[in-house]
Amino acid sequence: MVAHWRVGGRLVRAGATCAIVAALVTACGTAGGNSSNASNATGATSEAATRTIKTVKGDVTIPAHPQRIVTDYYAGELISVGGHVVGAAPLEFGNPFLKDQLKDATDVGDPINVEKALSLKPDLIVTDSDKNYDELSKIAPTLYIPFGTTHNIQETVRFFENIVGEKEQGEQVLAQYEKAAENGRNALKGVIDPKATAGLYELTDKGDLWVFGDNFGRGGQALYNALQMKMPPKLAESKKEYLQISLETLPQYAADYMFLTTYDPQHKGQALKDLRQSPVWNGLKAVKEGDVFYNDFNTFYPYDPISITKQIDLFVRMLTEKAKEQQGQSSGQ
Amino acid sequence: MTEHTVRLSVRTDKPRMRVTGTLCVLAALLVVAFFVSMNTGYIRLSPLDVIRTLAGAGTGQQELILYHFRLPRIIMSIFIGIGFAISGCILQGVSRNALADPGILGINAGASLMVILFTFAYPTNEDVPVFMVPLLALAGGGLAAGLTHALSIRRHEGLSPVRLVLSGIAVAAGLDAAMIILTVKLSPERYQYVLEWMSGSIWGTSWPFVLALLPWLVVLLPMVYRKSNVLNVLGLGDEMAIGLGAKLDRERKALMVLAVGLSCACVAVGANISFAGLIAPHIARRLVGSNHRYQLAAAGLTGALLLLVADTIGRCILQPSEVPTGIVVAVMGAPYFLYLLAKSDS
Repeated sequence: MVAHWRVGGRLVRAGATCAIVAALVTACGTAGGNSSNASNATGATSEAATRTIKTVKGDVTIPAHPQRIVTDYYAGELISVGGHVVGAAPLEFGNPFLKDQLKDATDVGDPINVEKALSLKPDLIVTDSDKNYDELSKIAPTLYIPFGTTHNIQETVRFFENIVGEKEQGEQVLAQYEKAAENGRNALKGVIDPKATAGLYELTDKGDLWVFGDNFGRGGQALYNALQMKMPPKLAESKKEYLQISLETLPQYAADYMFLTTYDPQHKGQALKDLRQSPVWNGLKAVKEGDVFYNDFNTFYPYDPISITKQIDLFVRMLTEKAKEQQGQSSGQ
Repeated sequence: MTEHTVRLSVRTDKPRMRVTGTLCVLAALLVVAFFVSMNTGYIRLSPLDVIRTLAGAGTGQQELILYHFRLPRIIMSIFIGIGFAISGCILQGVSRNALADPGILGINAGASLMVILFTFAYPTNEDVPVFMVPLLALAGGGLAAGLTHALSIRRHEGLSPVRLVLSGIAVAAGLDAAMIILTVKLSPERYQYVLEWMSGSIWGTSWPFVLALLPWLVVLLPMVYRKSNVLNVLGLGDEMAIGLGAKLDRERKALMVLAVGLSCACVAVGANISFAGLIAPHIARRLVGSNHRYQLAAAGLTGALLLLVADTIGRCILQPSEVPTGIVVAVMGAPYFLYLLAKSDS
């Protein structure tokens, strides 16, 4: 229902910070008796047993190699560096790039349902909402990482490999990303004018229009960080990661290549129909020249390293195929 | 009109035995709802587990669930149910308007506006001191109620209930408009926060919040109860009330301050569910009549029951996600009002 806005990682509502201490209960109990749990129990004497992570809520001591992680919106980030995610928010299960990795994970609701989280016996909780922070931290060490804590894929990978404790995995992920990025840039040479601008737009089922920067999902990292495309100048000037715009101001934020996702959970389709019939939309250069792409929300919404790397290929394919098509048309005339 | 009111209040007075019986039934239902709610949740706990844990013999996990996840929230629901219901009961009595609720003085709008202004003051969510929110909501609600009151007073005539209701509506509309303008300026995640707050999610679900609300109830409720006879007299109409020796303006003002205090405290730490303050006194009046000595108690119990049931439903109906309690209350309450409407037609 509110998934679209969810990206913001919301809420002022820190639960009470107060004196009730998270002392109680080791919810993970004695289950499994796997090595990390066992070593965790012996305390911080052995260097490898635990690590301390700095968060906005203070330092949190977590197992060196967490085995059962519950998260809301960091499933992709954790999985990409080898994290064992056992629970995630509903929207994460719509991410086509994480289908396999999440097939045994459980939907824990949004915000995380504390009892459901408890029943999964996690040894680490990673959340981008502080709504249930106090309750969650009674279940397991909880890291509250607000949305936007990391600013690009490189920072994201470094940040989460430190949480999961798998350095080599992080190197691998970044190497894969760099390779995909380089291949993508090479593939676009000669196809796309290097001075051309590209923009990411989203239409909601209520008819609201948004434009996004390089770090707010929707493929921003793939398009701007990996493929080095240029933003619409007015958006770049604003230095904003997202901006709501009216249909009237859309031409000022238009780009040579425009990628539009539609947030329409009930598949009404009306908002997109209205937009495509509006004279403003049809007056845009990109629309006239056929350089506009209507994309799937679930595919382009995610902003984790796995999805970003896959999104590079998707952008490249869209752009090269369109160029081929247009060439075919002009030579056919 | 005065005669009519008198007749009405006489007619709707129920025999004392029956009233006591009704109150006992309500209390019993509340106890049942309490145990059902304790048993409701993602992790199944049998009634026996609950009793054993309450007696101190549960496992660590059971204690965590009951004492830290479920119990604070249940108590909070009961508290704000009582608070809104009593507050609504007072306001309906003072304004002699059966459709009055705590929202009618602009309390909710004022509190919401304050919360929004507050979110502007802090650039990031992490900096926000949590306990400021209730206090600001309290200040906002109090200011709005004060404004409404000031607008509805006319020299020589004192406070007129009709003007009170009308200026309350005007103040609330004005504040709502200001709020909408401000929400346009909010970033999506902040807007989400405000929206959720306004739709009546119970958010102070840990012990500190429960403890923060407790003194308000402990202090204000006995004061309200002592005024129950004043409320009865006010219900007879101005002339009659003055004739019976009531210091009309002073009593009204005192009662309103009590009502504002109760509902502001509830809005501040709990949720924005003033609809409960409209519907609970209504049901109470049907059950025990309009003698406020009983109506107040019945309204409190009904409000507590209503919110507890609504919150329990909201907690389990869409698991693992939750439905804001205010929305469940509205869904449950709206049919009741339609029923009242249908009945009054015949």
